Amino acid sequence: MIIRWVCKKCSKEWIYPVERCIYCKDNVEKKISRKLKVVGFTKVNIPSVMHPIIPYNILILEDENGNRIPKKTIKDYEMGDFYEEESSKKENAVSIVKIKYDVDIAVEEALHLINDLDVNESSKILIKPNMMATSYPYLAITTNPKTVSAVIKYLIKKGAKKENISIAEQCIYAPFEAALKKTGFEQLCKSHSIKFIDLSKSKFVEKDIGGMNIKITKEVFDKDLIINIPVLKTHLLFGISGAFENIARAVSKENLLQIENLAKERKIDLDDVIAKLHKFLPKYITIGDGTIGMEGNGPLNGNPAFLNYILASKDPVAHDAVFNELGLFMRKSRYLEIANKLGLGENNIEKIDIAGNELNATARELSPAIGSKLMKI
Amino acid sequence: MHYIQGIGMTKFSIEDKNTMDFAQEAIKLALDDSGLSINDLDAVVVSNTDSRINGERQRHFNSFLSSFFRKNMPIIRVPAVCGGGGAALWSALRTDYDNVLVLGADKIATNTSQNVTDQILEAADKTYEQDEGMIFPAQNALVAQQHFLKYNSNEDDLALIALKNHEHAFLNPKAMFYKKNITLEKIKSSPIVASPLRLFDCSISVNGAAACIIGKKKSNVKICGSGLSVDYMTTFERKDMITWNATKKAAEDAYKQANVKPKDIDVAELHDAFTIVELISYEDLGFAEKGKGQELIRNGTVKLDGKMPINTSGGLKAKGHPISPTGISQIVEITEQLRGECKERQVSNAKIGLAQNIGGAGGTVSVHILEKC
Amino acid sequence: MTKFDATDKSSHILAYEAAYDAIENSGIGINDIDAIVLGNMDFDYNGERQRHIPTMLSSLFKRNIPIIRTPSACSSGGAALWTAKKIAENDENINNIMALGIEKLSSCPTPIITDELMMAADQKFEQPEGLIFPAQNALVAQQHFLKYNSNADDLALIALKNHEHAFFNPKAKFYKKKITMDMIKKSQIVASPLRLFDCSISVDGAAACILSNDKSNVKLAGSSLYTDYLSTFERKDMITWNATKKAAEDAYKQANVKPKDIDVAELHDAFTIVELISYEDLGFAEKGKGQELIRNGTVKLDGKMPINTSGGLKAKGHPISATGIGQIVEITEQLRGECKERQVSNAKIGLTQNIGGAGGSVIVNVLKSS
Repeated sequence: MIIRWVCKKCSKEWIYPVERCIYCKDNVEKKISRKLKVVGFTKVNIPSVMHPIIPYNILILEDENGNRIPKKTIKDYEMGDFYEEESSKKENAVSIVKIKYDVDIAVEEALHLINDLDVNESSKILIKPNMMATSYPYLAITTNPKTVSAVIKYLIKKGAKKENISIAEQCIYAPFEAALKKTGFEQLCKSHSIKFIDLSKSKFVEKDIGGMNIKITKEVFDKDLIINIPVLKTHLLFGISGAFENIARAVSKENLLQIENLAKERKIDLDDVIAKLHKFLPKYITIGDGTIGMEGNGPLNGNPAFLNYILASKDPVAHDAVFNELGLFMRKSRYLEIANKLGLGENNIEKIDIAGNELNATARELSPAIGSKLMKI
Repeated sequence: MHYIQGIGMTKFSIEDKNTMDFAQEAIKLALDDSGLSINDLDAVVVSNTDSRINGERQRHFNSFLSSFFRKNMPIIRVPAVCGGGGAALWSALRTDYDNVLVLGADKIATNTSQNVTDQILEAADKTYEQDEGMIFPAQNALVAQQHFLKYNSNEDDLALIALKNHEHAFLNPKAMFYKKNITLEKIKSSPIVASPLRLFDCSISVNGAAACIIGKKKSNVKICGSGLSVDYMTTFERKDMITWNATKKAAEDAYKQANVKPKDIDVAELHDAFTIVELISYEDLGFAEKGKGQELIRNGTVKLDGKMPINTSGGLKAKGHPISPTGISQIVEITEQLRGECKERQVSNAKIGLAQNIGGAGGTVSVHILEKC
Repeated sequence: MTKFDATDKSSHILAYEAAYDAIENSGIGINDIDAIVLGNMDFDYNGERQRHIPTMLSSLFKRNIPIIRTPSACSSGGAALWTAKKIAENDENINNIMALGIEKLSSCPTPIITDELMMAADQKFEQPEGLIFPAQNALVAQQHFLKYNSNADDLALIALKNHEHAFFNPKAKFYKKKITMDMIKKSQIVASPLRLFDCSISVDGAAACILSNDKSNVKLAGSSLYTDYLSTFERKDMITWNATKKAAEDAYKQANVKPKDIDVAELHDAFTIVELISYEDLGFAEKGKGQELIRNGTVKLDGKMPINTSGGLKAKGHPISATGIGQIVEITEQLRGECKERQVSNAKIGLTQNIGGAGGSVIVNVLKSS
């Protein structure tokens, strides 16, 4: 799709998100075109740091108004072909959408490509972002409020009511109020008039997940739709931090700290526990926040990776498996295979339906989490 | 009006010396050539890239140079990716000092080719081009495709341009491909980098430095025209991908100032970062009509023995392209041509020369016209 | 200028906003701008990866005009202004020229920002020895304390003054934020003897100004740029910054004024010690007596020669390249009488001083009401 910012009065067009026209001082509106034709293409045979997988093609796509945009693809196209990204109806589909200056449009497109969400004015919706620490959004430790805002705007557009939408999370490593402010979620909730539930103060339900009694928050069990919005990060223990790691904070703080200690003493298999936990959680949608993302020694000490893409899927195993592949990590997170065997989702890349940008057209090498002496826990 | 007081450049190569070492060499040559000493210099305009791949991690290069000159004088940096040399000269001409040193120095080649490609990629738009894999060979490949589709040009024309520049560089001691014989076969069978461009359609990244001293005192080479213009960064956003407006505007301004027409140019150094750019520049600079650039190479007009030899130094393709020094090295070549110092690659009776330096894909273009007096 | 603060807007959008404000303020249409000089730095780690911003400006303003960049570490903004003035004076086709300073660096972890800025120091002698900029200036402060009777309290007074000024400046990072002497003196030592509150804060921002050969009510009477050796240790005297002295001398000569004629000034207090030394290098106080100006209140808002009424780099924020132009904006507003609660009465002659690195390059401008 091509987005252009157009001046209402003098019709000048920008490829950048300007707010007002510097010529006639009038407001600027977004124009989107989807019917695109191939007017140029080249096959590139040399790798570069951001684009290591070769060969790849670059297409020049043009809409009816003569606006053009470049697009990287692995698939070959001919001059005059129409370019279309089809939405997938498969349950394990994962969509990859590169952000072109507008996160709202990217999130909307990502959900559209996995056949949209079914909501109405009575749907009770819970949004589960990452707010695990007191840090600014640009450090990519916590979910970018812009992504959450985009999701809320989408839900309202589809007919949901803001009274029925709530955001829930708990902050394990820092005081809740301070985190709410610094991460930008306080401002987000105010601007959308949506309430933020502190999960550490919620009621819990006890479940036996197979050798261990875990308290899970009641908030996830009485909702029509749960939207899990993890930050796409690396993780020292799991390899990557995606849907699974983020939703784990639906478990009580005591249990989480208990599991952490047992893992340090090597008395439990962490990958096994986090996969088994999922059997007792309701189904949810995952929207991977890659507006910035983290590489290096995640989930707390890494560096911003500037991924600039959004992932979306109804299958959390597929979502995490796709991110594992997008970072070209040598290590395949073990919990994915365990989860697959438990029937929780698809972890085999060959069997997953990718919608939107192609996987090999988006993958690039990210630094894995290997630990260092200077890390602060 | 400004005159060339002195010129100097290092050999373009992949020698692993510090940027400052290259710069020193070029500065010394320029000072010797001019007969001036450091004390006579009033200001310096330097163009260099803040390269993160050469391991030097040296920002604030203008202050760094102050330590070399051991005097307090105005020094500014005017980088513009590949068009930095020309932009630096354009800026220097608009200060009112008696003697200004214009320097270009870069070390960007001594790292893996992936890293070098990535560094140069940063001159393209991040969201629309870098994220979609639009490395510079690909950018220019798409431009070439558009030209082939619209007019009767083809890859063979590009190969002829590459061959011509290699034949010229064979005779240039400062060129990377000096005394290296490159045949048409080799060019046409080189691997495809980004279709339809092959390896030998792309200029080679090297290290080096070039300097020139301009001043108000009369000398035998005058800078009579100086134009610079900037266009949208992305080729896809422009109305016509194969007409580079920045070149046309900069050339227009330079021709007007110098009071010459395109056909008056005897010798020119064009910015052949990719062979297709040289082809398009023939048209944008007015040497050929739109869509007929290929005729100039087919009928030999632009070869050393032709009516208007272009890139007698070997151009970026065969001399090497160290990013910032390129623009100044073009001035060095044209000056030597006008002075009659080019030996085997001398163009007879060269009186008016032109240098065109481009940054990005036609983003920043400077055109300078020099005259023998 | 935009507000100096952390933002997630990209560099070129900040540039657009600053330019938009300057166009509105000047009454000159974007079509009548003949050239633009941009000051900004190339960062490796802020995720933007844009090294050819002049062409983005061409796309934003829809013009094919000469646009060049003059990066110079923290003095990029000043260098842009100096170059713009030279170009407008010497090119007959250029009448109106815009000088833009833009920077986006704060959306990165602090160790990365410190590392990027450290690259403005010498690659062999300073960077490998851990000489981050707070440390560079800390050593300079120590030399001054040893030789003269200045001390860390003087630096704290300078920081306090600038915060008191920024309290009234809507564009400053510390606008309406009360900072007390206690907070300043108790802040953590960054590089002894400099504390956290002796160091300016890195923010994002953009500022623009339009110069023209046509007359207006503020004249750029003098503008001068000089460079000095990159490293302070290499210079004869670590606490006399020759580039400032030479640039000031030249600018005063061009404008035909003396140091005592200056009514209001914006100095480059990247670190409080730099403001102190600049009092001396600019001729406002004798060598070794800069501290007297802050002790006797001369440089406060109600003093004889208020300095850094905007809050300075310390309290307004230091978006590296935008700083130099931001100073011009403040002095222009002072000379026009638009500064409201921080207005200096009867301001007729103003000065700005923009420094790159540790005195490696300095630009001094003298502005006059006309």
